[in-house]
Amino acid sequence: MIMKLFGLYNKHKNKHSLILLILILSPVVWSLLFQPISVISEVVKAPQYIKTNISSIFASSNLRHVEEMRWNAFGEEKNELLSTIFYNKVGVLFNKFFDLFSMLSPRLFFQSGDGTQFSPTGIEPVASVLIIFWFLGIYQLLKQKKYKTLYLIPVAALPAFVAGQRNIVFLFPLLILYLHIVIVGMRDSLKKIKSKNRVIVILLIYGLFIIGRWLLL
Amino acid sequence: MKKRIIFGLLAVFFLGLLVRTWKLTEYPVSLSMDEVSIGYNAYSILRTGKDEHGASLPLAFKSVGDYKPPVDIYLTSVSMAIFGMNEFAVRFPVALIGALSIVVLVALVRLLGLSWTASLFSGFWLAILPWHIHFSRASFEAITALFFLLAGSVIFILWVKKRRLIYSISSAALFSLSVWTYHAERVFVPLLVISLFWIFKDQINLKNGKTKKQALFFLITTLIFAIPFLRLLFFTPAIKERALSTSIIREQSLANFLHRGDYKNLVEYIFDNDSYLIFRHWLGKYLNYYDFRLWFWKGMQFTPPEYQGVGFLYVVDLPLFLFGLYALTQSKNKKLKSLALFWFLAGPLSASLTMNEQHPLRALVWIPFFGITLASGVDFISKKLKLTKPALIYIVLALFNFVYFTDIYIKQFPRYYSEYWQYGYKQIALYACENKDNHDDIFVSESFGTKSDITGLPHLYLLFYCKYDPAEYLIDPSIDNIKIKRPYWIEDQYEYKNSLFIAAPWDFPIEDVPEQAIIKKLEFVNNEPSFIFVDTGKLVF
Repeated sequence: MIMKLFGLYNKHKNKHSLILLILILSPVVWSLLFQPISVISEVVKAPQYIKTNISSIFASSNLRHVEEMRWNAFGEEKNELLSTIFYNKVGVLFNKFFDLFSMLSPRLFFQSGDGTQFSPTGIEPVASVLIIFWFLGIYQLLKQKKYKTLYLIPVAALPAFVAGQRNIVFLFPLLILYLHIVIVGMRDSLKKIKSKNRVIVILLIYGLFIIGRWLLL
Repeated sequence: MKKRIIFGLLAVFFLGLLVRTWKLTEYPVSLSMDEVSIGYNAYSILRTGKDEHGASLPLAFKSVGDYKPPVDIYLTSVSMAIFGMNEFAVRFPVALIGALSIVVLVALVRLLGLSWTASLFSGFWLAILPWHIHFSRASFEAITALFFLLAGSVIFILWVKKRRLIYSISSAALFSLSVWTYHAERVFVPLLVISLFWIFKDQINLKNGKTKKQALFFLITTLIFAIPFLRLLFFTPAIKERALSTSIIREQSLANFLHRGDYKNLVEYIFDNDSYLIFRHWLGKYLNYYDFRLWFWKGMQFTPPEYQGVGFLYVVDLPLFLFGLYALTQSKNKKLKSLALFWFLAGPLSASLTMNEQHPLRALVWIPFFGITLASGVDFISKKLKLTKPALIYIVLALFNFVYFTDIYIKQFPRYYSEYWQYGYKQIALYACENKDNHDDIFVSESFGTKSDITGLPHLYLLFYCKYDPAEYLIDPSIDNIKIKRPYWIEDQYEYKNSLFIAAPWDFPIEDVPEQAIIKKLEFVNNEPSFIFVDTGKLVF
């Protein structure tokens, strides 16, 4: 009955039913929907965040670290040429640049959350079990040479990176993209699995479990 | 062609050996607690056939809080028989094995069907890989275990291809040795062996009588190594103690939330079950390893978190890695793809089951995945493009990265973290042994540190650097008049009249000690005071 309702009983041609299933398994989407005012107020603060973030890149504390490393590097002289080549503002920029990469980590979405009010407390923003389909989705996209989605991953993290906020509101484009990748992986793997209905039932039970955990604890 | 390959192999091997043995005893700045423990136990085995606790040729060496795997200790005994009881003898075996791993990785990549160019590249890459260099230099068992693991995989594939009994037996023996060498392999190796059998199942074909017999010998060899291991597991604390002491269940961030069977009601039992909490906690640790920042920028933890650092790999490896991922997905070599996928997913598994976030040592077993991926990238590029220009660009940038790593490793890392390498205990041990006859007693404190209160194992440094006779230590486990004790200055200054106290300045505290009684001061590499030597014989009351 439930599976018929979701249009999942037979072959999974119905993309919308998969999206519905994924949404059930993504409490973070509901969490954002239930707090529209907080979400908007975060977005409104974006210019301020961006300003603070950009001005903090070459903050004195960061430059002090460069100075400190330069002082200790290679020879005894502080401003030796080699020290200057290896320890400078480019290093600070690299440090910052890798923040972008760390925002791409699936952990934030499939396990830990961002630690703000937008991540549902005590549960994962997107059901952990879906990480398997995320990996499969990435693999499928590479295999099928559908690079557009993959190129979009760092682009989707840009709002959070520019604002300097590891916050689901700013990472929302990336969340949507990751859910899309999950759907790609799910669609492909469900095609190959004989007992697909059993898989869907397990996913639904897990979805009910995390929603129950969220609401009851 | 053959000559060029042999030259290439020798070149990467000697490059690897050079960077792993250059100033071997100076970097890292001091022997770690584990190294002195391995060193003294190896010395004891060499001299008496027993470990420091009197066990004859043990298969697990009792240490402080856990048990050490035996392989590295026995290898160090051989090294000590050749080089004598010194720091070089402790570090050299693992450095050499680290360099040999380069050759084995080249063989593995080649046997998986990639070109010689790509295979030799993987050797060059491993030769200058910071992740592998550091742990090879500091005598970590994980390097030896990885060597056996790689060698086991190589011989396994050779067995699949050539069907010789000797390969079957050797492969099983090497995999088993890997399990005996380091803890992380206890989880990883069984999974790898199962995967290898699965990946090569068509070629193995167990219906063939000859193959069946050889597979049986594989099993028998494994059992020969497994039986004593299982005995240690079930009838002694040797294996269990280590597993329990490093298990994620001990982590405070998880332990505080576990109910341990004490649920308030059914809702809590269903929705806050310990199994779910453990699973979620583990998943977080596991996913934490899939982080580009860790891989390419900060993974090695040579510098404090907010400073620029070094990743598991060099930054220059990043584009090649992406090419490699692409090449792997497009590859028609199913075996290569399957093995790379297995290694990608299983690599951080053992590390994620233990305490500590993003542990580079426990994740060392992951190295072959990166090697295979980067080699696939090179293979792909060399077939599609003319290789000369990209290769030159890579080599120049890799050398740039290597110089950067070298500076971080020999200048920055000691400065920030010398105290975590027990820096100072060597000098203390040498001084105490030389001057023990000038004092009634010498007291060495096990507490020190500037950033936090670190507990060390000074007695091991004293045993090692004083070259204390293991036979004597077995009869009387004390080191002449040198004792391990923190100062209780208010009373000790009166109680021990002609004694020497060696401890951190804050442990007295230094303000209460008259200047004339301080006969020596030591510093960490960052010039912070580490230990002071206080002679109570110089006190005037």
